Amino acid sequence: MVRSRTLGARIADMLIVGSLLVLTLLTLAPVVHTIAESLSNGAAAAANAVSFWPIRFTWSSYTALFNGGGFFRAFGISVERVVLNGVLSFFLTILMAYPLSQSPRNFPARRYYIWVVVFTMLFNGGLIPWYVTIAHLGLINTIWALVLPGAVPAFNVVLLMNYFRSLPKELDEAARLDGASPWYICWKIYVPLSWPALATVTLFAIVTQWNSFFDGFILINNPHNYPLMTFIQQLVVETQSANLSILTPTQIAELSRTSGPSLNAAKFMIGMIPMLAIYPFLQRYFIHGIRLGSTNE
Amino acid sequence: MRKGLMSLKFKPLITRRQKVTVIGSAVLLASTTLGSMVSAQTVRLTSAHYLSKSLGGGSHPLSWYFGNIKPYHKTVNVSIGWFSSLPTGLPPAASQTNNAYVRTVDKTLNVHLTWNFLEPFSELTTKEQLVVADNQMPDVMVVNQQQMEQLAHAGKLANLTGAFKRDASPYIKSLYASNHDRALKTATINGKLMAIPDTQIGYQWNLLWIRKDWLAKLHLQPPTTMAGVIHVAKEFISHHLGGKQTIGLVGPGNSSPNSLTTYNNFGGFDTIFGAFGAYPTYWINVHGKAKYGSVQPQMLPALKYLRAMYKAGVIDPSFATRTTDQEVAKVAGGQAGMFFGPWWMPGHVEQTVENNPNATWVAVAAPGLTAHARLNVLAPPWSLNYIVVKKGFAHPGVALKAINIDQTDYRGHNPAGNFYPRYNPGWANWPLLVQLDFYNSVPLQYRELKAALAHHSPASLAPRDVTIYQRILKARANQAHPAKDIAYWAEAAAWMTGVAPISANEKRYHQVEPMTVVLPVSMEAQWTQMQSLENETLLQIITGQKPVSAFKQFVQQWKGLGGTKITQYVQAHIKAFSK
Repeated sequence: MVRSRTLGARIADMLIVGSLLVLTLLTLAPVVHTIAESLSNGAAAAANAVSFWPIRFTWSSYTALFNGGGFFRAFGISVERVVLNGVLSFFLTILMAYPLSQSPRNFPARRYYIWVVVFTMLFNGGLIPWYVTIAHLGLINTIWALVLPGAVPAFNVVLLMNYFRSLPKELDEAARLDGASPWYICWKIYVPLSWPALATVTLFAIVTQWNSFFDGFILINNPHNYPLMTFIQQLVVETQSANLSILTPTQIAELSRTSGPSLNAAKFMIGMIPMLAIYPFLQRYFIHGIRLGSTNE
Repeated sequence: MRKGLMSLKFKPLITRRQKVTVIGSAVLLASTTLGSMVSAQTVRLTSAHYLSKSLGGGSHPLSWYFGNIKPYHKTVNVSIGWFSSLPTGLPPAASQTNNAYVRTVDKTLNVHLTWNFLEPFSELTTKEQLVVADNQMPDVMVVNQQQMEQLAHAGKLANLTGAFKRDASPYIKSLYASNHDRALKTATINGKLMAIPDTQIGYQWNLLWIRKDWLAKLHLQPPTTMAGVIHVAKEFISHHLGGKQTIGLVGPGNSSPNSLTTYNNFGGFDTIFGAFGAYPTYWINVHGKAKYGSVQPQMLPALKYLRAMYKAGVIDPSFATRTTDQEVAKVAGGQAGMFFGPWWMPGHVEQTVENNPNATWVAVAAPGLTAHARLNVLAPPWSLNYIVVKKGFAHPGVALKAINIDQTDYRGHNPAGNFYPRYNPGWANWPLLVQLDFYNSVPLQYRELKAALAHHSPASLAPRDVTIYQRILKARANQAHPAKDIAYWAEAAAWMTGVAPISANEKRYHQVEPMTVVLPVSMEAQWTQMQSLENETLLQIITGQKPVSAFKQFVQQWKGLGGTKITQYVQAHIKAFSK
């Protein structure tokens, strides 16, 4: 590429870079605002007075969170579900994607299986059958109710399948000529070559798991055992929609103190930390993986 | 999992509350969760409403409160599906399912209570529908009115008629009687009591809350007419009392489907509509028939009035695009001078005082068009939550017996029942208890508190009011620095500032009873569409985006979309109940 060195071109470059920088910083704004709000006096936050700098600085939101045991228990349950689901979906996604990536010659019925997979991406049975199925498997109120229903994400399977198919066919043929079994080819050739795609789908699985809250409401019978996002959602909703008929004026005031905007901001900040910690490690694979998976021969 | 749990599309058959914004001590009337009841068009607040002349303790023996609390011979296992409540207000070691109240009921009645599920109120209906679909209904649940009717018609509920007669204590019966047993009637299907209803208390209608310190600054008196409200708002704005962006009167915020009226909630224009005899979003009685308030001709002058107020800049110019929380924030931030809301509002806007110790609030009866006009306000639905017992359960009276104990202890009539004197537990901690109170408890409590404060002695007070009395004294001691313990300020202001205008204007108030209904499940999709049409059109007329004539078109459209059919259904439903 030939770079133009004229003054006009440089100014244009500066403008472009500058505006991109501003846009990048803009994406940080909500986070900075949330941090500022979480460190502000509750009354100031409730008055929408906080922008990007804390008003009447206080740690009280965080100390209030750490004093109530519920938050960390919920945090632990969320970590548990993410780890279990992450590991399970890693293996199950590979086990499903690999056969589906085979050519019709090796796997004649492949097309029909893919239809079934894609069908589940477009349609679902509805809430009641979904619930009854999980209930009849005896999973209600266990960690497995949160982990198993999402253990084979169809979208991830398709993504990984496409990635597998983008790998050179010659590798597969050479391995077969050398007498490698499909199992061996999958784990020793395809998987090591597919780290970008695997990192991507695992990240998808983890983020989905971490952010899910509705399943916690429905599948877990006691708020004591809610995962973090359900726990947070419950606190946020409780202040907005709390059952007017079960609260007294004193409780209303109490509730507005225990779940004001600044406390909610603190909850969101702490809820973000694990994802923030994981992202940098997986992100370089992430972009790479999605792009490669999207092209097909 | 891209197409996973989160994307499951499910609309609960009925949402418990579609408008969810602010918290109060009795439920705001949800648009589709209306209770079905038949009633005379209006009720004068006559002495008939004061069946309970006094809440004062001591006039009845403990057995009157307790009624039948005899233990069962063999331990009875009871499975429960209930709502969870946060915060519990209990010591850290105790929980909603494991506390002294639960143990008391277990021991006294020889029962063993277990909870199949505890669900936040927002998700309770969904969870219950799933559990019922899975044939796992617990022995006792708390449901909304539509669910109760559906379960009763499906033959899944026990008949509680006999159990109520036998097991409800005289005290519990007197609570229902304070509103002429109306709550019980909503749970009576074909002459059989199918559920234990809660009771919604009255007097939660909107007052006008005004910044008293602002009035004093401008040497103004609290307004007594709507014209006065407009004048005061203009003065507040022109003197920039809340800064350059001063708002005269904040609105309810746009929380669809119904933005304009917020019974028992923050900011609604209910009383302005009421001044014109209009009752948007309620099913009202027009010549003996239920009609939908939003499409009645009385709406037109009310909309015109609000439109003029909006045009004059009296109402927050952005009220139609802000959320309710954002409107509350304007109040909390000291930018707004007036808002509509019920008596308990100080607990909701206490941040105003925290942010500015000089801020003081005064409440007046929300004015009518003239100083002595009749004040039209809405009565609450008589009941919103229903305790139901599974058909075939051997001891249908168990919930009533538990309530006998709970209610007596909760209201402090049993000195031995005060297990956590240093805490302030919410009533969800008492097992199987729902809100039960005298219909007129708010003005009654106020009157007795006022008398006790005048005599400097809480001796005459009912136990629960003694606590309030003490808090009011603490608030008065803190008067110079209310932010020191804002909870005391909020409680004192709610009772003494908030209820005062209700009590003073009792004779002027005119309660309109909504002929509320359960809507046909099959028409829910249309109903949602009709409500958003209504919300949008009415807001656009007020904010001047549409001409006043748009109202006429709206009424036609509303009828065409299914309004006529739904109205017929509602009328038929009410007829069926009045048999």
